[in-house]
This record gives sequence, C-alpha cells and structure tokens, in this order.
Amino acid sequence: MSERVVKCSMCGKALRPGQTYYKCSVSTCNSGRLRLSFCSPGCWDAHLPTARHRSAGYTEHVN
Amino acid sequence: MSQRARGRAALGAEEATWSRAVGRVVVALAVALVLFQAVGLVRDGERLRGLVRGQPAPALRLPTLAGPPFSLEQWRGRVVLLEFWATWCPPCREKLALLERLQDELGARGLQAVTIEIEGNRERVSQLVGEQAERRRRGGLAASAVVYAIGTDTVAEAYRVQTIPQLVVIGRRGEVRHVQVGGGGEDELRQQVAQALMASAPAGGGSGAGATR
Repeated sequence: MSERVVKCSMCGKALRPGQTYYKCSVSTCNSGRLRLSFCSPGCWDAHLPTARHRSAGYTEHVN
Repeated sequence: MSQRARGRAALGAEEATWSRAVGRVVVALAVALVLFQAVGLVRDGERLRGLVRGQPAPALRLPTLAGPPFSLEQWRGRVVLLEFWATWCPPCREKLALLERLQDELGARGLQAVTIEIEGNRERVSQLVGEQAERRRRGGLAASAVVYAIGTDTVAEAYRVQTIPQLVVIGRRGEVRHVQVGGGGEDELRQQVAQALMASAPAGGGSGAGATR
C-alpha cells in the first residue's frame, strides 16, 4: 500500500485512501512528474484555463 | 526417584513448555499473515470496484470526434455499451461495426453505444470512422448514432482495461452489468444488452432520454 499522501492539484485537499478522485484525460497532465489528481469534477474544471487543453476530459479513480 | 532423575524430568517439562510456547507463536504469526493477506485482497477488491457487477460505473467525461464531450451522466436512463479500443487492433475494429449494428437495431429501445479509443489517436480514429461512414453511405444507411470518444491511458486505468477490445454494458441507473473482453461473443453481448434493456425499462417504454443530475 502506498504511504504517500495524494492531494488535489487544484484545492490542495488531501485525498483519503478509498476516496474517489479524478484524473485529466490529457496525457501531458499524467506524464513525468506532473501527475494531476482532482478531488472533484469542479476542481478538474478549474484547471482547464491554466492547462489550455484543446480537448480534455476526466476519469474517475479510487485512491 | 534420585535427585538427578528429578532434575532431568524438570528439564524435560521446561523444554516441553518452551516448545508449546514457540508453537503458539508460530501459529499466531501464521494467522496474522493470513489476516494481513486477506485484508490486502479485500482492499484490492475495493480498488477493482469499477468493474464489479452492480457497482456504479466510474464517471467519465471525454472529448468526442465530433460534437460535444461525452459524459456517462448525460446518458443516465439509457443502457450504455462502452467499447475500449485502439486503432491498431483488428478485433476492435470488427467490434466497431458490431456496435453500429446494435445501435441501429436497439437505439430506439434505449441503447447508446460509445466507443472509447484509449491512445488519444484522434487523426487515425477520424480516418477509420470516415471509412466506416462511407461504407454505410454506400449501403444506403444513415449516419451512425454511435459516439466516438477519444481517451488516454487514464480511461483504461479507470476501467481496468488490460486487454482490448473490452466491452462494458452499463444499466440505466449507471451500474456495471456486464464486462466482455476480447473478440467474438456477439451472441452473449446481444443477450446481455437485451437483458439490460429489459431489466430496467423506463415506465412508458420510451427510449429513455438521458436525464442529467
């Protein structure tokens, strides 16, 4: 089991083990050191203006 | 009994006590190990909930080839048939044709077929869908109502896709009803889709326009 604490990339709220979170569907948001996680679709939505994706979506995961 | 014999007997009893104690510790450790593994398996099971029958399908919102983004929420009230595929996979392309046939046949009864390409290869998807559309046009068929969504590996991760094609039947309430992996199995898929359409047919028997939450 991973011991690291995952935080929402927008609001900084910690994602508890077993909590649902969201990942951006754009590969640049998930490559290298940049692995963005969002606590809600709203936070995912909030990252769009800064990310300037041409077309993007999200997927639901469990921490 | 001599003193020496009594001493030997006492030593033997002490050894037996030690052996029993060591045995108990070994059994306790074994039980703890089994429990630890069991807890790990349960946790893994929870992590696989995306594909557990009856559980809510993981939320999705993805760009499509044409039109607005696709979201599972928007199709709540319809049976959704998802296909996870890649452009280089021939059995996946065969399934695309099957999905179009099912959509033609069962769309009016409440089926919405959605294909999700998992490598973000928009140009190639566009080309393949264009070819498929051309074949339909030559066959006198109208444009397909299948939704072509473009995903990446996060989609495959969310739905635990390890082999393609993978098909997932999602009921009208958004629950995972059936998962099919690999080529073939058309009859089984038809049966599962028919069951999903019947199991949760909306009152009035309409096509079940997608209600958003």
